[in-house]
Amino acid sequence: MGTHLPTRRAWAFNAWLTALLLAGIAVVANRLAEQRLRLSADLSEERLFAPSPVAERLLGSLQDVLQVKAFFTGEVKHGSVQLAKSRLLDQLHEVEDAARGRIELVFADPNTSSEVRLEAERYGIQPVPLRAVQGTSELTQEVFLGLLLRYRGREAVLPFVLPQSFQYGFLSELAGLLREDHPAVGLIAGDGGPEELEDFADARKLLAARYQVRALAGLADGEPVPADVRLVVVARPHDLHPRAAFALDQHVQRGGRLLILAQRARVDLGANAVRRVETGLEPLFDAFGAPVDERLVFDQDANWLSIRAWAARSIPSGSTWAKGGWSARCPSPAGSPAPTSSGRTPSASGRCRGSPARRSSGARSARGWSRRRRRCRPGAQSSTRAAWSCSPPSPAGRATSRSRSPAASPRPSPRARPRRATR
Amino acid sequence: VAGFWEGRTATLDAAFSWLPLFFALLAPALTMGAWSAERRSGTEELLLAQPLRPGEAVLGKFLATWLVSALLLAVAILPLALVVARLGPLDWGAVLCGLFGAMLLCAGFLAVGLCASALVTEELSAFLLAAAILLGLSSASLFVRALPPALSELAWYASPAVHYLDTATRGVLDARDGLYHLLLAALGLYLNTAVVEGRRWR
Repeated sequence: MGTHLPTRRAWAFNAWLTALLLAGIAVVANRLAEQRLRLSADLSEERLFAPSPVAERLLGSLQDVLQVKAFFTGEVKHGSVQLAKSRLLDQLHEVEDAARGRIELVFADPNTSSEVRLEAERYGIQPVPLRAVQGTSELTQEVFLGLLLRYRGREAVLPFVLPQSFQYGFLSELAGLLREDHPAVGLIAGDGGPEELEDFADARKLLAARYQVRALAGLADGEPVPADVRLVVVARPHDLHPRAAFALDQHVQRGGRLLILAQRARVDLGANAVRRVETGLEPLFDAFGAPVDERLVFDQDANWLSIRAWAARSIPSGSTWAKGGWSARCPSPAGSPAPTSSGRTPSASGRCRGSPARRSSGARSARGWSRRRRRCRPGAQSSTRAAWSCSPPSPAGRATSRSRSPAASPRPSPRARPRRATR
Repeated sequence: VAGFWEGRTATLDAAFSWLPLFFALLAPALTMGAWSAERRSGTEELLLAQPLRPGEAVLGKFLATWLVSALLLAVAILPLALVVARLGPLDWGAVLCGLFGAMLLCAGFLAVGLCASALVTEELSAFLLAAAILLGLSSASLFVRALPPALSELAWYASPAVHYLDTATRGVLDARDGLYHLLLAALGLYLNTAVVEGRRWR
C-alpha cells in the first residue's frame, strides 16, 4: 500500500487553517498577557518606572485586607477615556500583585445600577460628563472613575483618578489610612505672628486632612513648642524673634522635627528689586551646620528679567561670570544704603546682572548693557536669559566657591569669560 | 529632531519615536526582493532544491535581513547617542533598552515584509503591500478616538508602535511587549514558510 500524499488543495486548506489558528492564538495570548503577565525590568539608570520604595513599603505594611472598590463605568464610549480606564485597571492589578493578596479589588458600575450610583455619590464620587463621537452622532456620557478604599473600618475616597495621578493619589490615601493616629504639626509663618499664617490657609487645609495643625503664634512671647507636636513647619520666616528661635532649638533638642522653608533673598517682581531677608534663624542654621546661602538661583531657560540688587551700587570690579550667571562681590550691607520699604535701593545704579545668552559677545561696556536693558523691560517676553547671583563679602574679598575670580582663573575659557562693567 | 531641543533633556526619545514609522518603510525595502526577486530571476527553484527545508530558508533570509537592519540601527542611533551624551547626562540604560525594543519591533516588521515578498512576484508590489500592512498596523493606535470602545482597545493593542513606545524608550523591558513582537514575527515567518512550501506543490 503506497504512501498517501495530500492533495495540494488539502494542503493549502491546512496551511491557511493553521495560519488562522496561529493568528487566533497570537491575539488570545496577547490579550491574556495584557491581563495577566506582569513581568518587567526597569533598566533606566534612575529606575523611575519600577515600583517605588514608598509603594513597596506601604503595601508591605498592610496588616489587614485593604478593600479597593472601583466605581468605574463599564462601557466607556469615549475612546481615550476607555484607554485611560484600561491603564487604570492595569495599575490597579499591579498594585494588587505587589500587595501579595492583601488587596481585595471590587468593581462596581454606577451606570448600570442606581443603587451603586447612589453609593458612589454618597462617597462624593461624581460622574464626569464626556462627549464622545459614535458614528455620525455625538453623545454625552457620564463617566465614573472613582475609587473607595476601606481599611480597618476607615475609608478614603479618590473621586476621579487618571493613570498619571493614580500612584500618587492612591499611595497618599493609603498612607492616611495606615496611620493610626493624627500627629500634631505646628505651623509658624513670617515673623511668628498670627497675621501671616493666613497666607498659608491652603497648606493648613491640606495638612489638616492628615494631621492636627496647631498655629504656634506665641513662640516669640516665650511660649515653648507643645510637647505633643512632632513636627514644626516654619514657613517663609523673616525677622523671627530670638525667643522663637530658642523655642525651635529646644524643640529640636527634645527630638522634635523641624521643617524650615526659608529664603534669604526675596524677589519683588512688582518693584523690580531683590531684598535681603533676615530670617532670625541664622544662628540656628549655623548651629545645625546648614547655613542658607544668600545667592539667588536663576533658571537659565527663563526669560530675561531685570532685577535690581538690594545693596550693590555697581557691578564690582571683581564680578565674574560663573556658570549660570554673574557672581558679584556685593558691598557689605552695613556700608551700603539700606533698602527702602518697597525693596528698592536709594541708589538706582546698583545692579548685579548678567545674561548667559550674551556670553559669546565678550566684554561689553556699561553703555551696551544700558541699551539692552531698554529693550528688555521687566516682564517683557524675550529670548534672552537672566542669571544673577550675589554673595556676601568674604574677608579675603574672594568670590564664592561657585564663582571664578579673575585671580583664581587667569585664563578663563571663552564660555566663562569674565566681563567687567565700568561706570 | 522635533521636540528634542524644546525638551532640554538628554534623551533619545524623539529619535526613537520615529523608529516605528522608519521601520514600517525600511523593513519592506529590505525584504521586498527576498523572495520576489528570487522568483523573477528563477533562482527560487534552485534555492528550494538545496537540501534545506523551506522553514530553514525563510529563517536564513529573516536572520540576514535582521542583521542588516541591526547594523543600520547601530549606524543611525549610536552616533546620535554619542552626540546627545556630550550635551548632557544620557541614560544609557534607556538607550540600550530602546535599541533592544527597536530590534524586537524590527523582527516583527521584517517577518511581515518577508511574507509579503513571498506572496507577489514584483518587488515594488511586495514593498507596497508590506508598507501598507505595516503602516496600517502602526497607525491603528491613531484611530482610538474614532473607533467604538471594543475596537479602540483592539486597535491600541494591535499597534506595534504602542508596544514599542509604551515602555522600551523609557528604559523598561516589558514581557508583554516582547511577547507581542515575538508572536508577530512568528506569525509572519509561519505564513512565509507556508507560502514558500505551497509553491513547491506547483
